[in-house]
This record gives sequence, C-alpha cells and structure tokens, in this order.
Amino acid sequence: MAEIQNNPASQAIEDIDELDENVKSEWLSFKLAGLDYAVDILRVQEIRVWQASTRIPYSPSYVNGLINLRGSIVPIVDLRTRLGMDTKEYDSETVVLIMDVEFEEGGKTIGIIVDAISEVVQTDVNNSQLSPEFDLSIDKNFVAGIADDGDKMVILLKVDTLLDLDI
Amino acid sequence: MSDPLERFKAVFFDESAEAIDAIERNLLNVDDASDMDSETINDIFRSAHSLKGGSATFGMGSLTEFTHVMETLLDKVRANELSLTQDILDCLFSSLDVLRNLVSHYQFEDEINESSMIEVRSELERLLDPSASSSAPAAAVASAAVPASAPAESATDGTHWRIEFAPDPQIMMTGNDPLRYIEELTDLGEIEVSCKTSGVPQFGTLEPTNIHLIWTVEVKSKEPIDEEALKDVFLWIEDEAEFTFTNLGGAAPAAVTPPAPVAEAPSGQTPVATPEVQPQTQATASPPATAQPEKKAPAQAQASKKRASQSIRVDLEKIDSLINLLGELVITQSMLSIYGDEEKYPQFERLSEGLSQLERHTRDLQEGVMRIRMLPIDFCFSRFPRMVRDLAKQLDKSIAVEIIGENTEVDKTVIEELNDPLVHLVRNCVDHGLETRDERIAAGKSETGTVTLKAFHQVGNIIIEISDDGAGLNTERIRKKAIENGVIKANSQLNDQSIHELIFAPGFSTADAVTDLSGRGVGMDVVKRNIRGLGGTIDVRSTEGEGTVFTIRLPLTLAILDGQLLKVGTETYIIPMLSIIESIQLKSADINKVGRRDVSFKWRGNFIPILNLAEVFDCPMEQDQLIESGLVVVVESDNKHCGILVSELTNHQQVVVKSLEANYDKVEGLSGATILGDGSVALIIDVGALITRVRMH
Amino acid sequence: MKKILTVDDSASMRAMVAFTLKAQGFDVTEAVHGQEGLDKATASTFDLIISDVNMPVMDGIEFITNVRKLEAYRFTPILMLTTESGLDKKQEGKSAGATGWIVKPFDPQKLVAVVNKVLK
Repeated sequence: MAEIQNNPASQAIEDIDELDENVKSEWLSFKLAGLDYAVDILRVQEIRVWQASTRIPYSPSYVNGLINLRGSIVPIVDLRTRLGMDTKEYDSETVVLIMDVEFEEGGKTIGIIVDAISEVVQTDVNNSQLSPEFDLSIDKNFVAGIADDGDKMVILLKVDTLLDLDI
Repeated sequence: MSDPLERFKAVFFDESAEAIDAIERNLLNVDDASDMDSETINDIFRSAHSLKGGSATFGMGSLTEFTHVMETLLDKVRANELSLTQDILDCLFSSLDVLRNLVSHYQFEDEINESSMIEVRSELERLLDPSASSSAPAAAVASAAVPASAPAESATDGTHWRIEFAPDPQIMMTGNDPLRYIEELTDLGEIEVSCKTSGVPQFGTLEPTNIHLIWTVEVKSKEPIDEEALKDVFLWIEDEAEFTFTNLGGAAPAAVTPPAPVAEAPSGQTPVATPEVQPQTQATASPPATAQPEKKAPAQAQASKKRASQSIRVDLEKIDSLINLLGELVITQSMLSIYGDEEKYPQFERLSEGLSQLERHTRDLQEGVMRIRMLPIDFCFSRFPRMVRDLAKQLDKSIAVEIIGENTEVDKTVIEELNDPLVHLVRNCVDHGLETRDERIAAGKSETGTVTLKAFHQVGNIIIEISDDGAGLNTERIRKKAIENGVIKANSQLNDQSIHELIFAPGFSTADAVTDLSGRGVGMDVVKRNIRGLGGTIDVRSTEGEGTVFTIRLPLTLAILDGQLLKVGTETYIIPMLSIIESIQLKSADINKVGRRDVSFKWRGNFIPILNLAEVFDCPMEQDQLIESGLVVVVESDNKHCGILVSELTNHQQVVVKSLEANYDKVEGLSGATILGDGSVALIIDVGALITRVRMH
Repeated sequence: MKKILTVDDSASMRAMVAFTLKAQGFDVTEAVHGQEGLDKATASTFDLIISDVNMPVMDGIEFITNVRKLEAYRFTPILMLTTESGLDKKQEGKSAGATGWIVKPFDPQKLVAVVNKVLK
C-alpha cells in the first residue's frame, strides 16, 4: 500500500476520487409506507402516473407487469413488495419512476412504483452514513446510505442492486 | 472527418471487399489449373488491378505493393507467358487472406500479419520466375472524381392549402398570440402569409390590445396534409376565431415515390389529391450516396453488367427507425379499425371503406419497408465454397459445392443468426456425411462428393436445404449411441426416421463424437435450439448410401408477425397464425380426463394433448371456466399437435414483435411481446415451447 | 431562464411536471392550490402557468379568472390540466381566460412539446 501511495500518478487518482465524493449529489425522494426513500436523480428518466400493466407469467411477486413506454416494453416493479412491505391500492398519488439501470450485461429500463413523490434532496455522499444500529427493516444490500434532510431521515437506495431482478 | 477523401475511402473499402470476393469466386470456379478460361483470368486480373489503383489513390502503400506483385503475376498468366499451375492457384488463395488482412488494417487499424504477407509475396515472386522485372506500368491511378451533383429537386407539389384566419379581437386576452399558431403551421409545410388590415379601425378608436387583422396563410407541403391536422393546430382557439380551410390541391407526386403507394386519405370530405399512381418501377433510385470514384478501367463495365440490380447503401439505423415508425403505423391502423365496425357505426360506411384501404396500404408499405432489410442469402452462402475447399484438402476428400437460389432474400438479422448453424451443418456434411475418394469409388459413386446449399421461398417462409450425396446417417450407430448416452432406452421401438431425429436430442453428441472439424463441442441440439430461437424448425431426412438432407424453415422476418389475439380471462395473448391449424368448439364430454386434469381429446382420428392456458400461465381466473367454454385452438409445431384452451378469440392482426429480454428477461412459453391498438402490452405465445412442455408432462 | 408556475394539489402530478420541465432547463415553481398559486403569481412574474382544475381551497377555474385580472398576466399563457371526462371544464376554463389545455394523463414528452410551443 505504502509503495503505491508513493507513486505520484496513483496519488493524483486518489485525489480525484476524494474530490468526487465531496461533490453534492441530487436524489429524488419519495414516500413508501410512511418513510422517505430516494434514488439518484441522474438515474431517473422520467416520472409517470401509474397505469395498468400486463402481468408476466412466472414473474416474482414484486414485478407488477409490463408497460408500453413509447414503443418499448418496460417492466415495472412494485417497490413496496420488493422491500417486503405490505401492499397498498394504487391511487392518484401513485407514481412510476422510470429508471436507467446498469447491469454487467448492459443497461436496462425498469420502472418502480412508489406511493408518492416528495422532493429533490441534496446530499453529500460522505455525510450519508449507514451504521449497523439502524434497523431499516429492509435488505441492507439495497441501501446506499442515509441522508439527513432537515428534520427527517431519507434512505438512499442503490438502484442497480434493487432492480437486479431475480427472474 | 470533413476530408472528402474519407467518404470515398469508405466506398473503396466496400469495393475492395467486393473485389476480393470476386477473385475468390473466380478461383473457386477453376476445377483444374491447366484449364482456366481467359475470361476468368481476365476477371481476376481486373479485380487485382482495381485494388491496386484504389489503394494507391488513398496512400495505402502495403496494399498497393502487394497487389502490384499479384497483378504482375496475373498479367503474365493472362498473356500466356506463364502457365497456370496448381501452385499458382494455391498461392492466389493464400493471397486472398493477405488482401483481407491488409484491407482491414487500413479500415479498422488491425495489425498487419507481416510474416504471412512476406511469405505469400515471396512465393508470388518465386512463381513469377527468378528475376521478375516489374513490367507493369505505374499504377493507373483512379481519379476520385467528384460525383455528379445531386439530381435536381424533383418538382413534386404536395398538397396546397389556403387558410383564412380571422381571430376574435379579444383573442390576446386568453394569452393566445395568433402568430404562434401561424408559426406552428411551419411544422406541416412551407407557409406564405399575407395579412388584411382593412378591419383595423381609425387610430382614434383603436384599442391596442385588440386584434383586427385577418391572415391568409398558404401551406405547401410535399406530403399531403390532412384537414384535421390543420384544424388541430388551431384546436385551442377554435371558438375564438373564424376559419376557412380551402384545399388548393396540388400535383400528384411524380415518379419518385416510395415503393408502396401512399396511403390515401380515407375520408371523403377531404379531397386530398392523391390519385392512385402505381409507381411504374421498383424505385431503382440512382445512388448519389454510393457515388463511386469513376474508373476508366474496363473492370467496371464488366462488373456492373454482372451486378443484376443497382443498390444504395443506407445506414441500418435509418431503416430500423423507419421500421419502428411503421410499427407505430400498424398499431394506429389497428386502433382505427375498431371504428370500422359497420354494425356499431352504420353511418360510417365510407369510413370503413377508407379504413380497409388504409389497412391494405399499410400492409403494402410494411412489406415494402421490410424488404429494405432483406438481403440475398448469398451473404451467408458465399463463404462455404472456400470453407469446404479448405476442409476437403485437410481431410483429403474431393468435394464440390453446389449453390442454388443464392438470390433468395431474407431479413438481415436472420442471416446473421443463421451463420453459425449453417457452418455447423456444412462441416457435418463434409466431415461425417461425405466419404473419402476410395470409399466412394468402392460404393460405385463418382469420386467427387457434393454438398448442396439450396434456398427458396415458401409461403412467408424461407426454406434452406443443406444436403450431401454421402453415405447417409448410420441408423444402427445412432441407435447404439443414443442408448449408450441414455437418450433412449435399450428396448425402445423406433422407426428409422425417429432414430435419425435423435441426433438433435440434447445429450446425444458427446465429446468423443466430436472431431476437431465438426467440433468446438457444439452438438446438433444447439443448432436446433438456435433455429428455434429464430422461430424456425429443422428436420433431417436420410437414406443410407444416398445422402442426407437437412431442411431449415424460417420466417422471413423477425420483426412482424401475423397474430391471432385471444383472451384468457381478462388477459390478452397472441398466437402466431402460422402455428394455428384451426379452432374448434369442444363439448366437455369430448375431453379425456385423468383425475381432474384434462389431458387430451380426439382430433382428426388421433388423441392430442390439451393445454389449459389459465393453468400454464397461472392466470388470475377460475381454471374450470376455460373448460366450460370449450374453445380450443389446435396448433402445430415440428409436426406435433396440441389443443390450447382459451376463453375467446378476438382480432387477427399483424403485430410488431418486441423483445422481452431488452428490459426484462426470457419468459418460458413466450417469444416476445407487442403493443396493441389501445397502447397496452400483449404477450406472444411460443407454440413450440408449449408443445414441448406439454409432451414432457 | 423562462419561469413556469405549476399549480396542482397532487404532489405526484406536480413533481412530474416540475421534474420534466426542470430537465428542459425551465425554472419551475410549485403551488398546491389556487390560492397559493395566486399568492406566488403576485409575488413574482411567470412566463407560463400550468394549472390543475379540481383543487381544494381555490379551484383552477377561479384561479385562472383571478390571475387574468392581474395586470402582469393579461397576456400570459395559462394552460389547464384536464381529464378526458372534463370536457365542459375546458369550455369553462377557456371562458375564464385559459390559453389552452393538456389532457391527462399525458406523456412527459408531450408536455415538453406543448410548453416549448407556447413559450417560443
């Protein structure tokens, strides 16, 4: 390790990494069973009102179905079910976030159904923390961090892990 | 990239690929070195010559140098100063690989294979005779002439409208600016605007926020404009202004029209002047895009005589976006067809007439556009003569290749996907099918065996046959091997055909059966799977001692499918029309049950399995409901039949096939999805997979 | 940067409009009902107002009528968001002074197209 740090080139690379981490990033927050969650806003393609989808046979319970996004066939995922929460009837506040997801085999477009949209949260990834004593009651692999947004806590989600569907 | 030379370079690369292929084709036609006709050798010489000229123009030194040596040799052969030997022939074959490598070096910056280049060049020089004096003149450099300027804009007036637009004086009070609407008309065509000011009151009484102007706008477009489209522009203010729309007509589109006739405006109230002009020609557009550097070499005249049809190079992306758009058109058309129901809307007789016309034209247009993506199967076949030649040499067999129907066209994607399976099948023929010279003579056959590749169209499908006149499949050996590998039981009673089909069974091919030729560890089951992945089938017919024929049947395109819409409860699915034999109404007494399950019914004298879709796809409905309906669609795949229980059959329409894998994943029993007229998604059933599944249970 | 005021009681609808238009480089302000919209419209100046029709406290029709009365908004484009079934609302809105309407549910791209057209 020491040897590598002596190398000026890799030092420079590390500096850039640190710089990156200090840059504030924007997250789009939404409600899910009374709590606030957020996803990286750069991954949100668009926000749509919920519309009926086509059920896919043999799909996991959290896959709601397929919708037509301007000619593309896009699956949408019920985020409550995905995170193991109780389901709720979709209503006029229900929204689908169309996400860009990156997998090893390439990019995909997948929608997530959330209760309602809240706002854009600015956060410093360094400030977000994930300490073991938090009981989030959701799979920790899905969590990128916790942001403190004034009076409330926002759980930042890792889109790529969250939507790596086990089909 | 602004360098115009770059554009021509791209053309040169395409040409050189063609030239190299042409040399190869000619070489392959030579059965016997001593017996090459002068025409063929001239052809080869000219191809090499134009390669040299082109590469010199673009400063591709190594290519020029190499082709120069080739050309010198060929020139001597042509002039009968050298006789064509098998050595020369073999060396020319090796030269092809060097040429391909050099071209891809300049095109894609691939590494030059120096050692092989030097080796082949010195072999060429050696064949040229001791001290070859380069008698060839300085490279006749092809002048990269600037292509003739694009043909004059075809003067085709589209439809021409005049719009009188008299807004209410108060229109600005709702935030509406009349100019905005006039400007929006530019989306539809070119506009010419004039304005009547006679309504403007005397200055003293003028209210500055009121509008007293009347505009006259003339819209001209090459495309016919629908009156509705014009009205749509003014939709927000239709009650806040007076309008008159006058159709001033316009000349019918002249000669240059898309291959299919333009869809006529269906409604009688819009007299859009589009008489049904059938384009007289198949629109052989003169290709400004492929403007080839003019060449005086005699090669051109000869070559273009051979090229049966002119072509234009188009970016695949452009075609695909056209196809997507067309898909949307198909969807819109089917959406509209709902309103063509005369019983529901008797007053719309003319509308329904127009709709059926629209449907016909959409279909024609669709066929026309799909044909753009079609390529002759030759793109795939042409590699085999060389491959077989190399393999035959390796195995010391004498093999001829016969190609039939190489101009048969098929979708580009299908061709790409077809390559690997065909390579495998041809290797199989050469390796296992055809006998050695001695064996053939012993069997009373001619010394040379033949591999035949044949393609032809048959009702919406392309059929490809790969056959050989070899020994045929050894039924007994296959049977033994199948038993050894546990594919069948030792006591299975199977007829010859069933045994032959075992070669496609998973687990049949084992490592020891794979020689390094047919090799790479791929079995026939993979070939079959690939073909099925393309929505096709493969089967085999073989006669001992006479040979083997593999027949592949594929849809012409993967993008569009003729589908039958059906309902299972509230869900809509689609079955490809090609798989459907008929639909019948069963009484529940006709259905054989085992326990509570429905297993089969008698159809045309045989019992065929029955499949409850609600159960297969776990649809949210009472499964008994389907049985009560008794509606069965009989489908076929691979000569196997099965009845599918559905609740209701609805439309029959063309659907645009979309992949489920793009954003989701493969789903068992489904081959894709499509978008229906109402914008919703429907799933397409993979009949082959369902039948396999029901047979396994 | 053009300023747009979006008035809607549905947070999701508001968020969708705001998200979509911000991505296009517009400065978007949100209001949850007609009264708040009127307050914000008075406090600042907007180039375009997009308003829902059915809202608590002050509905869209009343809001549009009131905004039109403001000197600064005599000629400002105001778009209504209506549902297909609310056809007569379109008429009512037009009478109140709306420039035009967008039918819900709409595609985000359609929204962008209409806004660009109106603000051109």
